Amino acid sequence: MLKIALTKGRVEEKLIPLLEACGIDCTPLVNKERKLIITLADQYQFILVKGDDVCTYLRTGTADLGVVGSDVLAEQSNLSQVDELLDLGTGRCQFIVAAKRDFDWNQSHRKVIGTKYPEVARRYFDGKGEDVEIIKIAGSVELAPLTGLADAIVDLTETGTTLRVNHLVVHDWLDVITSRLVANPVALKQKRNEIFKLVDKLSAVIGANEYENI
Amino acid sequence: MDQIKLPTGLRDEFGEVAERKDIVSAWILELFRNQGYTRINTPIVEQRDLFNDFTSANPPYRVFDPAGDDLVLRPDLTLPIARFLSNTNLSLPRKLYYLGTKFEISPELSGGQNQQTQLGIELIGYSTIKAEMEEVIIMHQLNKHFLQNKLTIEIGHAKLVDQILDSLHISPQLHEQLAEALYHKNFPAYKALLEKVGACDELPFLKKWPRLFGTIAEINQILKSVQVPKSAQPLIKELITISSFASSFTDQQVIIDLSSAVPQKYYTGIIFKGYTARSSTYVISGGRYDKLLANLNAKTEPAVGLGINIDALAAITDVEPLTQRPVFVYAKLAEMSEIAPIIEANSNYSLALADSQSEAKAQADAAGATLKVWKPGEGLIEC
Repeated sequence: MLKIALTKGRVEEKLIPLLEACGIDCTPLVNKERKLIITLADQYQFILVKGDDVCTYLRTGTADLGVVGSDVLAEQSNLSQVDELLDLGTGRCQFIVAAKRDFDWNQSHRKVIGTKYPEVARRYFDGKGEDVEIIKIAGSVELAPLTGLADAIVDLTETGTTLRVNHLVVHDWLDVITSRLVANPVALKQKRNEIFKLVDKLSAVIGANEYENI
Repeated sequence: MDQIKLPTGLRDEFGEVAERKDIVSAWILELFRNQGYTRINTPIVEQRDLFNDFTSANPPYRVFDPAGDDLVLRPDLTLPIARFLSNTNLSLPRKLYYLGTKFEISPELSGGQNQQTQLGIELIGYSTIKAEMEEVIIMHQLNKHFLQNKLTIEIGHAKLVDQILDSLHISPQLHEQLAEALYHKNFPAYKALLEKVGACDELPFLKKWPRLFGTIAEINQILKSVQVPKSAQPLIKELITISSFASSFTDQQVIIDLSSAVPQKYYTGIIFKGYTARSSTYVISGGRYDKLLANLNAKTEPAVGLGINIDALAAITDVEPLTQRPVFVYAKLAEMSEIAPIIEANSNYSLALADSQSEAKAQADAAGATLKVWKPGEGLIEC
């Protein structure tokens, strides 16, 4: 039995069609009501968790595998200690830096950046050699430049609609984000064949044929 | 309130948790002593610079001595022993063993422990592969004694990844990125980087590389279909030699990993990791580090070490209950000298520290002990 920590919500919804295409009956997952632990095909036990907690479940050995957005992995990169097995290609969006149209990026003062992803923001501006002040915000990040809380934001966008509605302009495009299948390193060693069987099935479904060699 | 708060990442060990560690440690210490190893203890505080080459996710605990020197609580137990050796003229070769506490800070609020008890050996001055084989035997002994043969030994080579990547003549940056992707088994990143490497003779091997871990049979099977880069063949041969030796214990599970992450930069040869299905982390790790002493301005000495995570081992070991129930002995104050020799003669006897028999009975019951009462002329009567 493989224990899989699955990010509930959008990541979960997009995984279901892939699992179905692999021939895994997902009815118990679709009709789960309020249950948080669901077993599929007597082989996979899914534990439904928040994205931020997937790596915690893996690190402590509570789960063997996880399905999580690469935004979470990027933010937790220094403490995630997980193996990344497959890019599922779902839940595609992108990290962006954005500000109000009239914001002057060349001004001399130290910029204030609002974000849900302080690590990602820090790495980006460090890479530019720019010292900025980062403010962590839990949600509705677009509000920060509008209200004067921050000069600019580092955030995720899928279609850019929310940015446009809030009169924000993308200043730079960062990493593309998709859902990833990740593993606890010790579990990968111990359940190698069982895990690769699932990876290969999923690879075939998402058309990543070249994975069969890797 | 603050004065009785335990700092984050640390814990008190009480009762069975602490006793398990004692039992496990005592058995292993005796094993090494009987085998003629020499014991070494080093202080828990060291100069910060000693650990300059030590890689850890977090900086160490810092300590300041009265002179204002910047010291740390040691995050590693091998480097202090290397320091000891570089400061002394100890005749080598030599087999050393140690038991100590190290401090490595876990990510904040992750539930990790910052203090770890480690017991280990360092075989200093031995260049022969028999030193690695001695470590395999020790791992197998621990496996049999404590883990009902559920320990898997993973064997890798610290130089293998660099050696193969060197043969590709790629940029240092791409080299580093590929190594990182391999060590963290980041398959999507590895695949993307491989496209930058382009066509080369090694490509069939490179494509299979991240999945090249498993039993000797599985690895040999995959290696039949691809050619291992020439420069890496001697290292792979060494890996197979050691793995075949380990597999000669028919009850020992062994796997090889051709991109096994190197636990510390100072490793230069074969590396070992041991784990069970019940552990989320490595119970044992170690390997060859031939350059470490040279880094500390001493004569180069070949060396192999093995560290056993006593916290992890104790947690997954089934410890036998006491074979004899403890006995509390109660006597009136005036009769104490009569029972003293009896207490000394029985290893499970101790005094009932109470002034009345009823109080003694209650204390014995609470401690899971039997109460025996001294009756002049009759002797000890169980009560």
